[in-house]
Amino acid sequence: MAYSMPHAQPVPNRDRLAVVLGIVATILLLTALLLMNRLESRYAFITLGAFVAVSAVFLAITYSKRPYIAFVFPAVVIYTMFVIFPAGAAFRYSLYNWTGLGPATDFIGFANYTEILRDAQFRGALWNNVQLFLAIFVIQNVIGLPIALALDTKLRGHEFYRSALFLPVIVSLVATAYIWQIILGPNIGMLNPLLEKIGQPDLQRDWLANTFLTFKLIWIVQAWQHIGVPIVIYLAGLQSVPTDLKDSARVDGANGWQVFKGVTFPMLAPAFTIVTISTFIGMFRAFDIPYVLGGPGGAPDGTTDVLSLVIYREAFGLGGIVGTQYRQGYAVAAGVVMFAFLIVAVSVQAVFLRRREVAM
Amino acid sequence: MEDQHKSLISRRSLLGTAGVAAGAGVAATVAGVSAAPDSTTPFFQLNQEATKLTFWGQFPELLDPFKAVMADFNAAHPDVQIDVEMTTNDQYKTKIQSALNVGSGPDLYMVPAQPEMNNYVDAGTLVDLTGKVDLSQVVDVAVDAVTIDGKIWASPSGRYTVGICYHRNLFEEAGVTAEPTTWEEFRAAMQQLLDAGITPYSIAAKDGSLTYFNYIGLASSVLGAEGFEQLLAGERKLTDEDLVAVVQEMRDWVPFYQQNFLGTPYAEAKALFATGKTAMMDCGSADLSGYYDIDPDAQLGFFYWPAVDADHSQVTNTGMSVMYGVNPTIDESKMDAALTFLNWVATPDGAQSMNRNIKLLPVVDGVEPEGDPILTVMVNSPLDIPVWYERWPTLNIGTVWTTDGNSAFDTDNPPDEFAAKLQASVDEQLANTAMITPAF
Amino acid sequence: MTTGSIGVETIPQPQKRAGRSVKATLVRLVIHALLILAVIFALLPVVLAFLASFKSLFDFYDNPLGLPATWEWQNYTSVWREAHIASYARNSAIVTFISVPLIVMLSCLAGYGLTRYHFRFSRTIYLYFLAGLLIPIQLTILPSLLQMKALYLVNTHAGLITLYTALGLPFSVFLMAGFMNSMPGELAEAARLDGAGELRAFWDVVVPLTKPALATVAILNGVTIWNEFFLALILSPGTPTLQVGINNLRGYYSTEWGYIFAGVMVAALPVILAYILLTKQFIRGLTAGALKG
Repeated sequence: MAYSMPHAQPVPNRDRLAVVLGIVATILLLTALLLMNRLESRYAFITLGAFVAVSAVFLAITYSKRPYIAFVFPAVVIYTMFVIFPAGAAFRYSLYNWTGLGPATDFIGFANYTEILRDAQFRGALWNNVQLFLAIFVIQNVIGLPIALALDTKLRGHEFYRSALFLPVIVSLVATAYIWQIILGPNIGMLNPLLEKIGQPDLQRDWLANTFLTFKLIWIVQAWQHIGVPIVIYLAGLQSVPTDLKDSARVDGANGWQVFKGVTFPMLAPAFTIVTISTFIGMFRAFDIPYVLGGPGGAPDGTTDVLSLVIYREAFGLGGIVGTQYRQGYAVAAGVVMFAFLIVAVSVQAVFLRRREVAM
Repeated sequence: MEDQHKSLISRRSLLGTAGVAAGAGVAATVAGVSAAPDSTTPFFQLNQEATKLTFWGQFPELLDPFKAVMADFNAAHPDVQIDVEMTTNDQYKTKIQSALNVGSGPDLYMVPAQPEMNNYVDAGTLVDLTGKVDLSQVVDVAVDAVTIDGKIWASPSGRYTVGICYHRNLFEEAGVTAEPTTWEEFRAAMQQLLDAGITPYSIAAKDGSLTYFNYIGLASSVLGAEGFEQLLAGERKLTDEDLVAVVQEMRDWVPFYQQNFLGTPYAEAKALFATGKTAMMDCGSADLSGYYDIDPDAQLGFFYWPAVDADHSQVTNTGMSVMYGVNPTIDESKMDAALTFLNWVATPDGAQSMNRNIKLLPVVDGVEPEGDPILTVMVNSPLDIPVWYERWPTLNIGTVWTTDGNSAFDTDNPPDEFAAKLQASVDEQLANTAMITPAF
Repeated sequence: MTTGSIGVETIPQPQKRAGRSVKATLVRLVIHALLILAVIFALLPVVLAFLASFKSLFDFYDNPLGLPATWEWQNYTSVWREAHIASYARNSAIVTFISVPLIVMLSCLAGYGLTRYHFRFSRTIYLYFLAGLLIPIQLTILPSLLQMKALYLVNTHAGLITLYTALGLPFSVFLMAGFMNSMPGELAEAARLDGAGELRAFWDVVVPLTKPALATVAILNGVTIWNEFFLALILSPGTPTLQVGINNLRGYYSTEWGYIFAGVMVAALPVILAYILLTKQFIRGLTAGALKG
């Protein structure tokens, strides 16, 4: 407890005041949020002002003894206000049969949830997310990890290779959509004319409308966009592997593969954990690339559907000019199910992978 | 000494924190007050010479034509100015619904056709315009399109008619001399084009758009007016033999479609046709300005959907395109200006401006389409049937084409299987009669 | 040419163990070849899109594989002029350059507070932030819009800034906490014992030491915010950002490919330039934070 102040006197009254103020501030914040949610702007502003004032006093009182509160406070408040509270507020909609327009009045309890469990499109989308994760998991360990190993040898140009492979990470959703049109697009795509030119016209396909291939292409585009991240993280992990460990293994007569298996890979365990978990989260939340290559309906014939698309489509419809329906309540319920699933799955993974790290 | 210093620091930081907090509180209040004029209840009102209104629509490519309409309006009513904001169709509904939901959004917006419009009315996101706009000069079908429960909810200002557009020069090149009138003639014409090395037909299946219009056009020619009513009443089924034949007919056209039509969305199919890479495409009046935008010298022709045989009539499909609605959150002081505009588009002047700039079919009595001879051909259609999504039972046919369109062309599936999916969506709508609108 | 190669051969090589060095060179060549393939795969789509931005519409169909038949610089000038790219870019810049310092500041404070003081709830709060990474964004759009409306922030830069800041926090706190954990703690202690207050010690000692992580948080959030599309579309249609503006280049009834690619390039250029200039910072701190978290 090196941070505790040797000269600070315990002031019980002050502590009690701090607790009270903390509770008052929390109540004020929640009230302000509820008022905002009801569009009672004026009262929300007043409450918010009171919250700011009370928490200022609260922070001032606690600062000398518990300075960390002041450090963490602003981020926690902003995050709670604009991320956590909206998510909680959304939950309410999931209990209504609600199109998404006008007030939600048709309360149906958990009917949306029971419907999701029976919904074939939800299950299909979930299965696609699983496949997407497995595909990317394999690609980044079969291609990404060897690339990181190669770059770790500091061969000539390794910085250029690393930078170039990372570049697609910074390309935006809108740009990705158009950029891949130029290769796979049915009309301006270069892949088909290229196949024609090299005398392989039989290989030409309608790449973005193939019930078998399109989803696999989504894997590839997803890998294209994101493989820079695991490469870079593995590289950093490799740099923490002491070279003398490897050398001594080599002196003991181990070959390259044995060194990798016995020394390098175990040391990479933390990097493996972070890469796997972040890929899992990323692939189960994947929206951009399926949306731009498959469209909101998961074309062709739902084969590119993923969970985020189901939520988006149920909430806002298919777009386009032909009539379509939307069910905001159902969409939110699907989002809640997805969130719950992610929490459980990620916690299990984290525990499992951490234990494995220790075991190695 | 050290102790003193310490308490000084902490006192100063205490004061500082409190000061920052107070400042933030004041700032928040000021921000709220100063931002207020944008909202529904202004704290103060600037004296402006012209009332400014905002309008949202879903045709970014028609931004300039719409601005031209607003300029015409401004010339007639200098005291009102309307800003146009367009969003790509794919995301327009996402954007407008979100905005309406929380009571923000523009003053005026493009309203979707019935029965989708009912959602907007039920949700209270449209101002009841009954008695406020004068639609006496507007044709009945357009007035019906904005009437729900006997009340007027929007000002109709343009329709579109769908048939087939073609390049006259490409037809000549291939030696096709007459516009085909039956399916058989149509197939023969496409074969002739193909033999001449021309891709006959642009279609888009990726987003289910053009395949949908193609289907309803051909199916309408089988059904006729009476058959369409029977379909809506559940007395005719899309799984009837003569309607399954429509799916089969579209399969028979596959050799005539452009390569990779399954992966092609609407905008690209259109670009292919506009650049003369294909000879024909499903086309509505709203497409025309886009074609001329790409090729001002295009020699375009138009004919109605071919009839299934000589005993049937050729047909077109028509739907409402632009309907201006008022957002209930509009400022009271702007309401008059908004009504001025809504009334203006329902007059011959406004209708002419819409027609001249946007090439939509006018809906005001006595206003003849100008600017393009094709529009005149469209108005003279021998048989016109509404676009199917404007009717409750057939609302979701387009959704089936969007989400399941590939299977329509999958030769492993018999065509009646796809027809069964289409009919299933009709049956579902018929079973869910709660929302059938009395107007129809 | 020939003399050069002869010269190389005649110079005595330091490692003369023939068999092994030939094998090693071969392996190295294969590795280079494979890496070059990977780089081509990574960069080619972007390069092709860049070339495409100079093509005319007809060129796209008549000459799909070749370079532009005529270089249409006017794609850029028209898209800049007619599509209001300049004003979109201004909106993007305002939103990005205000949100990023806010995120950096808040996450740095929080990361420090969470890691350097081992208080009772620090782990819980850390996990509370991490949970934010799992929330589907589609879930929160409508309630967020309600809040923005209540705060009179719809259609303002401030609204977007507020939300981007909040949404950037979970990942940034995660990175900062990871980085701070790996930092030696004694320095701040020393400053504190000298009698400096907590904030002063933080500002004078901790912040300079965390610069690499701060840079990473800034860069990653900057890129994310610059590229963000759906929130900008829905929450602030009145102040369209570049991504929203570029997306609108594609109308439902027409597709002018040349303009679109020119627009895409204009929107991507600042990010790519920043990336080329700052590539080390892009990569370094990301890994530092990620591995220690």
